[in-house]
Amino acid sequence: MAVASGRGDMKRHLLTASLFLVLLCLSCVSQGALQQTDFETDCSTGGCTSRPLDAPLALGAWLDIAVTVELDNTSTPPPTSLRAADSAVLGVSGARITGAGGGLSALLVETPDGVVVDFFHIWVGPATRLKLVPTRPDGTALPSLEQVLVLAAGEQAVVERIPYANSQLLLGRSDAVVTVDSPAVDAVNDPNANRVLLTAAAPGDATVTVEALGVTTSFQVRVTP
Amino acid sequence: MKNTIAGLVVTSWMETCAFSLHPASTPPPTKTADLDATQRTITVSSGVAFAVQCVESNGAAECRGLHVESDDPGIAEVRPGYLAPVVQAGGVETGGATVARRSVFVVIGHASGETALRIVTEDGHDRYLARVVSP
Repeated sequence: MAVASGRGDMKRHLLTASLFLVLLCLSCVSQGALQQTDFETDCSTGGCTSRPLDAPLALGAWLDIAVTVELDNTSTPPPTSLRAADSAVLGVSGARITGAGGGLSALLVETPDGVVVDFFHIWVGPATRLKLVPTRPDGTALPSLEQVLVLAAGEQAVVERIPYANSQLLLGRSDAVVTVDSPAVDAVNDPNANRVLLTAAAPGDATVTVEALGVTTSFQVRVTP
Repeated sequence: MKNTIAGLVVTSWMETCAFSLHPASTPPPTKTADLDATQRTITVSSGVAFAVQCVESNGAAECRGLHVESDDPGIAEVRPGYLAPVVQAGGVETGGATVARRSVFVVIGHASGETALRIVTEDGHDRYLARVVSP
């Protein structure tokens, strides 16, 4: 009886795991309004290889997106290009979209002869804060930057910066100006991943200031011998 | 006299209508994309795209030779759209499955205002008012 129950539990666990994987896969893309295309972007917040367009784009940020057209199974889809309904809100250059102004714009997927096969609406809004998330280079978590970040000399850390509009996560990558007030820490900005790479150069204290998307924030680093 | 001629022209446009228009997409939150067939009005927010399907009034088939033009694309732009055909299962009496093609066009709101959309098919033509609102 106990064995049968165990097998039943096993089946339930396998079913749950399968459903989770299916949902995880589906959650990586966003469907167009006509349900004929999938929109996805590289993950800008770490932890996955792609993510859906499930948040507004930060004003001034850019995003490289991939569009998969799925019309039927009898032919390849036609080549398509992207166009913004309102270029004052959304800039488009190839596969890259840029938050040009606050508001909303449709992103049209068009064939070379101007036929719209699908579209997706994208909001653009200004960032009001940057959430800074520190990790070790191998991805393991470090304590929150609300406390002083303690590193041993020679140690490295990665600080991911994630734009928010108050409590709303924003999508997009951006350049940043990173300054350090002490030779104790070297900091290099990596705009393609919204990350700051820190190297503890010598014992001492430093304040690291990050300015991106019109928002400035700073944190303390202590380097120990 | 001018009004009479204009009235005749409008009546002529309306009388030759042999199709109906239906929404084929929904608006994003807080925005508008609406079709009022009675008032022959399409309302969209600026920046919003709205897909509209054209169906023959007498047979629910696709509108053949659909062509739509906007009098002022600076207010409301119109582009041809594409919706993949739908395969419909059919009984023995209908000879099996049929492929239902779908005619669609997309209205894109650019600037607040109103303009006319001229809709022409092989079976008739009609005129809709496109109203672009903000938001």
